[in-house]
Amino acid sequence: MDILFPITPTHYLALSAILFGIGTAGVLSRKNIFVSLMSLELMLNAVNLSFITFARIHGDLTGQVIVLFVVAVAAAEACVGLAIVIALFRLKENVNVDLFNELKD
Amino acid sequence: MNALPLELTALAPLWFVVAGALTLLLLEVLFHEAGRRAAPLATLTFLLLALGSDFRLLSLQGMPGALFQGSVVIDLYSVTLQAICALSASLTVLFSSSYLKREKAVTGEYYALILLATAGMMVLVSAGEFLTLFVGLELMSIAGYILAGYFRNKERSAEAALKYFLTGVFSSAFLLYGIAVLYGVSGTTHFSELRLFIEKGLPALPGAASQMVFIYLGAALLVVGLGFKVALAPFHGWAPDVYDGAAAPVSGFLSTGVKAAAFGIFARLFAEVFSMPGPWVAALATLAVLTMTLGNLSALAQTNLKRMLAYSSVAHAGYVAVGLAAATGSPADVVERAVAFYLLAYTLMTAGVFGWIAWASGEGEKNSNFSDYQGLAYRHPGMGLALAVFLFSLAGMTPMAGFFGKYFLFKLAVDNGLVWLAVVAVLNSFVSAYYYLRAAMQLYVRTDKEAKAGLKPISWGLFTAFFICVLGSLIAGFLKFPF
Repeated sequence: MDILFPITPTHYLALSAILFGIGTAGVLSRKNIFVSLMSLELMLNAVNLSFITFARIHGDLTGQVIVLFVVAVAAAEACVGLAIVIALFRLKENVNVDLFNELKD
Repeated sequence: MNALPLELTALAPLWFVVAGALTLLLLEVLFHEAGRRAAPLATLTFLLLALGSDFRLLSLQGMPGALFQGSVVIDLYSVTLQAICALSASLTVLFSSSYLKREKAVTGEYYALILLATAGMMVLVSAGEFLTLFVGLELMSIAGYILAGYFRNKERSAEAALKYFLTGVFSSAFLLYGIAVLYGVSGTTHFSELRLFIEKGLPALPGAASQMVFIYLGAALLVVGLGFKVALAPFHGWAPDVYDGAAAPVSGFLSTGVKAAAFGIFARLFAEVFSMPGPWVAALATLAVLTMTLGNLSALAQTNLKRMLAYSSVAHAGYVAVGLAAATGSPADVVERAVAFYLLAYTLMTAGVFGWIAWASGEGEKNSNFSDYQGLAYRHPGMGLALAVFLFSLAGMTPMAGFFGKYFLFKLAVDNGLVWLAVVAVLNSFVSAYYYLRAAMQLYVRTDKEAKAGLKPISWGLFTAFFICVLGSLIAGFLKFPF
């Protein structure tokens, strides 16, 4: 794509920040638990993109290794998250976050 | 006989806990009912072995220091915090054993999860590098999500798990982004190298000012991430709901062990890495004031003991944040000693109070309003006194552990010129004394109503746990602290 303009590490960092922002907005605004879970995954993967870019800039493998750990941890988190969704669905036959409001002042 | 390698012996507490978690998972599979009955005792054995090796490490002349190329730091601070986490887990096991029997929910994996969470805490407090920090934090948190939702057929418990999970992963992402930014600026994930980079490297480099902005950004993201975990306002919204909805022994575990570990590493970061003047002093001081005030004012309005304690636990996070805000001017070991002592005192009294609720509230935790406890002290003088001791200690009454904990933290603030912050903290303590004493008073109100709370007799396990908590809350301030 260097006919138009060269893609530099800065572009990747900007993309990562934008994806993180989209993920944050998704978690904060959406009522469906599945959308929230996907937004959380998006946030973690946005950070992964940052790590890889920084690893590339520094010529250092640490960032790449961290990404492998984050992917593994995200998988474990998704697994627990889906288990919680199943437990909630069995209680109310619905996965809207707003329906679970028994705990409040 | 050849000496065992240092990596093996210095991390003995962690190995014991991990071995315990794996054993517990097998125990129920191999021995069925017998394994299930033996689970609490087996868990305690492994935790006591871990505690024993922590004490052996504390009695050594020189600490091993950095191991595994600096990924893990075994010093007096991390070993002390490991011991606090193991203590919190042991108390939780003692409180849980009779609670689970009463609720007819005895399983082996409950104890395995407690041990896995404890393993995560031990990795977290010993971290000398950000990847180790992240892995330890996640191991601790994921086990915590499952524990919060352990009673998955109860709506309150499942809802607590949902709220804990969503905020937990959300905060982890912020923490991770903070780590990425710091790695991007400095090219390292080690605390010690990052500290050298901030101290020496920056002023000499071209474009230093813009790089410093990214250090601040990274530190701010770390504060957000860890702030969620330890429930600092304005990131505390989940805490009252989760501590209220989870089973009482689990709430005790989440608000002592998990919080102690997260605060432990939080304090290490701000005492050792970001220990120079910077915008984080004002930021942490603001967070501390917000947290204390919001926590205490919300606790005032509660009529349910468990929910009141959930808010009080938020307020106590604010007191520790006072110490963190003052971390820049003092030597690292002074800050770490004050924080570690506070976490020990807080663990003893808070674990005790949640264990007390687990015992007294009866099946399904139906009776945890203040009015249910009226006159309890006349039927159970010992247990009434125990709750009174915990509440007095939480309020910071003079000879108790809670007083010394607050004293060390507030003194730190005064020594570093943050007198106004110490004044606000002391005023908050006065406010908190009102609701703690109001709760304690209910025990001694004479009433004709039918007794609802505290009907079960005390088992030996419960007695031991309460004895440790009461004794600890009374004398911890007079003991010689490891460092």
